[in-house]
Formats: sequence, C-alpha cells, structure tokens
Amino acid sequence: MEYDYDVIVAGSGAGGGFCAMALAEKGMKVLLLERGKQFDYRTDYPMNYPNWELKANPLSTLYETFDHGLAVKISKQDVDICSGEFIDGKLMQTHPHSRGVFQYQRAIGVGGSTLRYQGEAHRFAGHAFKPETLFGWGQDWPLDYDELARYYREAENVLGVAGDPANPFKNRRGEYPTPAHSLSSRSQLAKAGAQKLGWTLLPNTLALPSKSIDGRLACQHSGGCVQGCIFGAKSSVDLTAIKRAQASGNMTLMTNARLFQIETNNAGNVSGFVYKHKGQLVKVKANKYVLALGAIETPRLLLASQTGKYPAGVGNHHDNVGRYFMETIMAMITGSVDQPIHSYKGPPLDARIWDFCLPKRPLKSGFVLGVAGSLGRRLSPVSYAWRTPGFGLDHKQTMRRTFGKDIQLFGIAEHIPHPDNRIVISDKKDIDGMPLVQLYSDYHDQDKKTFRVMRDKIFQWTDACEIKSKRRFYSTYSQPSAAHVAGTCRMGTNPETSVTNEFGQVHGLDNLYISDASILPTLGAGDSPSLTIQALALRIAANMQ
Amino acid sequence: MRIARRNLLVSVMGLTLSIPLIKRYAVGGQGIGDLEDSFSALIDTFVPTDEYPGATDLGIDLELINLFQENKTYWHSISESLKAVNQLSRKLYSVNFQDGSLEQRTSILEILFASDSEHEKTKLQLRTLLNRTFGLFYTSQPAFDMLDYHPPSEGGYPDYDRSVPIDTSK
Ligand SMILES: Cc1cc2nc3c(=O)[nH]c(=O)nc-3n(C[C@H](O)[C@H](O)[C@H](O)COP(=O)(O)OP(=O)(O)OC[C@H]3O[C@@H](n4cnc5c(N)ncnc54)[C@H](O)[C@@H]3O)c2cc1C
Ligand code: SF4
Repeated sequence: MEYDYDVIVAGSGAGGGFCAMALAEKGMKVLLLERGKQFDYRTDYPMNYPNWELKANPLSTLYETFDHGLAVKISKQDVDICSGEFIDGKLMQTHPHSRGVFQYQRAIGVGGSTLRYQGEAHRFAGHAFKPETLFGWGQDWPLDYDELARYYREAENVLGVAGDPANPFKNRRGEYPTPAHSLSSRSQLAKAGAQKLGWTLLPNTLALPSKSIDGRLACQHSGGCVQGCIFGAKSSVDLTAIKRAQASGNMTLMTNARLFQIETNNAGNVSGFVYKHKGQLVKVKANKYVLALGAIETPRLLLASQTGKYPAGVGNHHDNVGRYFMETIMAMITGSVDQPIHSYKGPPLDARIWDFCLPKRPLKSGFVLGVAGSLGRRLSPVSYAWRTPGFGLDHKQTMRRTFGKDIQLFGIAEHIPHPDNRIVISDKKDIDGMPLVQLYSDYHDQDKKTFRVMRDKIFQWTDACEIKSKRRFYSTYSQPSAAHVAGTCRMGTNPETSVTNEFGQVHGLDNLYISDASILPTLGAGDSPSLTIQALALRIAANMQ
Repeated sequence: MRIARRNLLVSVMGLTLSIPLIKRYAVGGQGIGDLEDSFSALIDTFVPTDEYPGATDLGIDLELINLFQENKTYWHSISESLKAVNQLSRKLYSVNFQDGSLEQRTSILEILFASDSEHEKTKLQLRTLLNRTFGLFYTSQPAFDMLDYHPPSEGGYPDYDRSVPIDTSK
C-alpha cells in the first residue's frame, strides 16, 4: 500500500523531535504533528522585552488536562515531609489533609518541554537500569547502560552538551562536545559546604553549550532557561534535532495539529492518525506511527482511543497503559547568605552531587543533590518582590538583605514505580472533546524513607554552607509539581507487565511505537530524564525499518 | 541585546522626569480628588523612603493616578478603600491616614491585610495596588542600583562565576 509518509511522529519534544530527526536523516519521509506552535526565540519569549516579568510567559500557558478528583490523603505522621516555613530559625510544618493539586510542568510547542527545561543532560547511572535485580523493586529495563551508551553519546553531540570528562558519575569516554561551565558563585559556596561533609560537588552536564556551535551563541549565563532562552543558546529540541530534520528535506512539520484519535484495522494495527487542525478533523496514514506526546498525553490518547479491537484503549490489552506513573520527588530549602552572590546569574542548575545516586542500605532507591540560585521568575527584582511577603520598610530591607543572595539546596529522588500510581481518563472532556485525565500518585514507604534521608542531607548541607537565613522548606509530597514525569507506558520484555518492547514498539501492534518519557521503566535515581529519552529515541529510530 | 529597561521616573535626586505629568485633581468629583494625599501616603507606606528612594520619590503615586483615572469604576472602588483606610486611621490614631507616622500607617495596613471578611474588598484592592507599586518600583533603575542588580543583556553575565571570592580554604 502507498502512503504519503513512511512514518508519522506525533509530538515534537525530547522524544518526538529526536526520533523524527533520526528517521528523516536515514531517508524516511516523516510527518511531524505538533499540537503547539513554533516559537521564535527572538520575539516570543518574555525576557526579550523590558519589564518582562509583567508579561505572561507563552511557554507556561495552562491547558485543561486534569479532572482533579482523586485527592491523596496525608497522614499526621508524615507531616515532617511536608512543606513548611522557617520561623525564628525553626521549621514549622502544618498538616495538609491531602496532597495538593498536581502541577504538571511542561511546554506545548515545537520542541516540547525542552523549551522550558534547564538543560540538565544526564546519562542515567548503570544501576538505574537494574532496580529489580539490585534492589528488589520495579522492573529491570529490557536493555542496559552499555547498550544505550553510544546513543547517549550521539545525543550529547547533537546537543553540544557541556561537561567535564573527569566526572566519575557520568562516564562518557573522551571530551564532551563543549567544556563544562565553571561553577557560579552560589555553587562555589555550596561546594565549600559540601567539602566539609566529604561530599563531591561537580559541574552539571548541561545542554547549554559553553561554546558557540552550529552558528548559535554559547550560553550567556542569563539564568533564564525556564522563560525560554532569548539568545537561542539553549539546545532545546526545536533548535537542534528539528532543525536538522528539516535540513534533511525529509520531514514535514505540521504545527497546531493536535492528535486526537488513533484508528485501528481488523488486524489490530494502526490504520491512521486523526488530528485536529483549525477545528477540523483530518486523517493521515503512514506505514508506521510514533506517539511522543509525553508521559501524560500519550497514555491519555491511548486510553481515549477505544476501537472495536481495543475497547479498553489501544495497546491496553493487559491494563498497563497509564500505570507505574513516576513524578518528581523533590525537597528544597531556600535561604540566603550574607555575601552578594548574584544568584540570578549563571546557568540555573549548574552543579550536582551524585554521591547518593547509588542507594546504600537501608535505602533501596537513590537521590541526587543540587544547587540553584533564583529559579524561574524569582530571577529579577520585581518577581522577587512579589514573592517576598509583606510590604513597607521591612519588605524593602528584606529585599536588600536577600536579593541576589538567595541560594536553594535541593534533592531529587527516584519515585519507585507502583501499579496504583496511575493515570485514567475521566468522563469529563476538555474544550476539544478529549477526555480529561485523572491522576492518582502517592509516595509509598520506600519513597518516604528515601525522602527523609534526602531531607536530612539537605539540612546538613545547609548548615555546612552556613546559610543562616533559611526561609522555606519545599516538598513535592504536600505540593506536588513535576517537570519529570515518566513511566505510564513502560517498556519491558513481558507484554503482561509492560506496554512496549525495548524498541518502543507497542506489544501486539506491528506499526505503533512510543518515543517519549512514558516508556521509561524507572526515573534514573534522581537524574533528569531528557537525555535518556533522546538516546532511546535515537535507538528506536535506528531499529525501525 | 534586546533588553532595555524602562526609563523610570521623575525627579528624584536629580533624575530626569520621564512620565507624563498628570493634572492634579483631574478626576475631582468622580475620582479620589481630595483623597489624593491619602493615596500618595498609601504608596509611600508600601515602599517608603529610607536611605534609598521610595515609591513616591519616583513618582509612582502619580503614575498610578494617571493610569487609573481613565477608569471611573476603578477610581470609585479605590476611593472606597481609601475611605476605609482613613476611617481606621482616625479610629486608631485620631488622624487622617496621610497625617500619621510611617509606623502608624504601616500598622493600619497590617491590620487591613490580616483582616477577615469585614475588610475583604479593601484588602483585595490594597493587594492589587501593592503589586502594581512593586511592579513599577522594582523595575526601575534606582531599585536596580539599590539591589546591585544588572539586567541581562547582550554578552550575558561573563562574571557569573566571579561575583564574590568564595573562601574555600576553610
Ligand atoms: C520547567 C522544566 C524544566 C525541566 N528541566 C529539565 C532538565 O534540566 N533536564 C531534563 O532532563 N529534563 C528537564 N525537564 C523535563 C524534560 O523537559 C522532559 O522530561 C522531556 O522534555 C519529556 O520529553 P517527552 O518527549 O516525553 O515530552 P515533551 O518534551 O513534553 O514533548 C511532548 C510534545 O508533544 C506535544 N503534544 C502533546 N499532546 C499532543 C497531541 N495530542 N498532538 C500533538 N502533539 C502533542 C507537546 O506539545 C510537546 O511538544 C524539565 C521540564 C520543565 C517543564
Ligand atoms: S542560562 Fe541563559 S543564556 Fe544560558 S541557555 Fe539558559 S537562558 Fe540561554
């Protein structure tokens, strides 16, 4: 049968963009469908303009996604892992009855969430691929680190990753495409604290090239990654993989095209993608189909595509679609130091401590620690003023005392995949008629144990850094907010416990693949997932005939 | 590169005036008219003058009046809030709000910000005004100077790793 395209990829983020690039560069005719628009970094991002803080960020636009029906209760004995404020140096935590409303951090547009990301480009550690064998939880990956290493390398090269080849926790052989950034002032301070504790703070590996590549500016250390990089320096997918795919002449990019339905034929394979464009439904056909909508939208679409052959949703023969959801488990202390460290300068997340990535008994899951200065909109005086409580002389003095002196020490831990942490679709629908998502996600015992150890380490570190003025303790347990979501269509060898095989091919369907965060069986012991999603995308494309 | 901060504002310590001058009492009768002094006192209480300029030194009270006077409904509700502020001031300190000391004015606003439903509307109104005042003050050059803040521009922050020498020898 003749098709217009060899492959249709839906979703142009970390997974979709890289998959489309690799397919197009090997000569396949690709159609890339993207729900959002193409942003121009020179005009669309707020930091291009004076008083940018007063402007809405088009990258953070909220899309109606959730039917927040399922509140997860918090028991009284877990109040110690909830957010709190420091009053007279003492942490005061109140007991919320349930976990707050889940904040899903992402971006809709060509390049997906990488438009907002801070460019952490992490290879997962070898042990993160074998949690079942090594620690007795979850499911081992159907491939190991060595198998992915060459794709990691390739992805790093596409992104111009800045890194230190001597970093023992990120074992790339030879130089990174660009040298590691030197540590910002805040991270130098945090390093001094870490050294007192015998911990190793290292420059982060970042997709924020430290040297000009492909005609783009090198990172200018503006700290504005989450607002969208106005210098075009950040290696978001639109400026890297998608540019390359377009240069190949083999890819057609269709923006403002929301994939709406997967259609299947009698043989149980996909017979077409139906997308919505300017209010019209359009059906397109290809030889193969790739879903790359992200770890919430991909299962949402599969579950919503209830066809004659798949009444419970495409690919959901064993009720695995939507299960094993993993979110970002994060704890963070915000405080300030006496020195003016200009915390708004420098790459937002320029340093990491990987010493706890490999769990030590009695823990079974790992975590990493990091340093941030002024995250997100707290970068500039006015945003900082709005977020600093009070008014009057006290407020003005607090501004003088703390602005540019803020430091945030945080930890991110593995969220152990659990079948009950899951996404289902609701009876309620969004404006386009797509069912909303109900999310149930809790921390189980092991998650809480790791969280507590991580929290204690952050407190120790804060003291070692002599951060005297602590203000807030933030916990994603009571205030769930996740930029790293994964696991809802995990890959595996057993079709009864996984959704795809190791090449992202949905079990039982010949022509449907998934290439996004949903296929990750684990979330990398606290490391950030995009590089792994990109490496997997390259591997999926390489194996697609 | 593209970042050029707004040029604020009026004559404070020799700075050039760059907002359009408003006609005082232009909205008399319909607007806050004789409550203008209370309005200025309110903006001054939000960001008072100390060893650094405050919001009224930069003309932010005038700029806000200028901005809001187009909208009569909004003016009306601001007037109502100012009346509530004045009423509380007279009750507690027997003076109009603008005649109170900074300490007294601060305490009145603290009460209103912490108040229950009795002052709910006033509280919301004050919160909006506070945010707007911060919006103008903390995007101005004098505030940047006060905070030693340098907005990003072409060339970025080459000194990002040299803000302070950190003593790592200890
Ligand atoms: C603020 C922030 C900071 C982050 N920082 C980091 C970091 O430093 N390092 C790191 O590794 N990760 C980071 N992440 C996470 C990282 O960006 C994501 O893990 C990664 O982009 C996920 O890739 P994905 O392909 O699964 O989804 P996405 O990149 O989100 O791509 C999904 C794409 O699908 C499109 N789409 C959705 N539904 C449809 C539909 N129905 N039809 C068509 N298109 C659709 C979306 O518009 C989007 O373009 C961050 C994320 C955020 C939001
Ligand atoms: S720190 Fe600034 S210049 Fe560097 S990549 Fe991020 S937004 Fe761009």
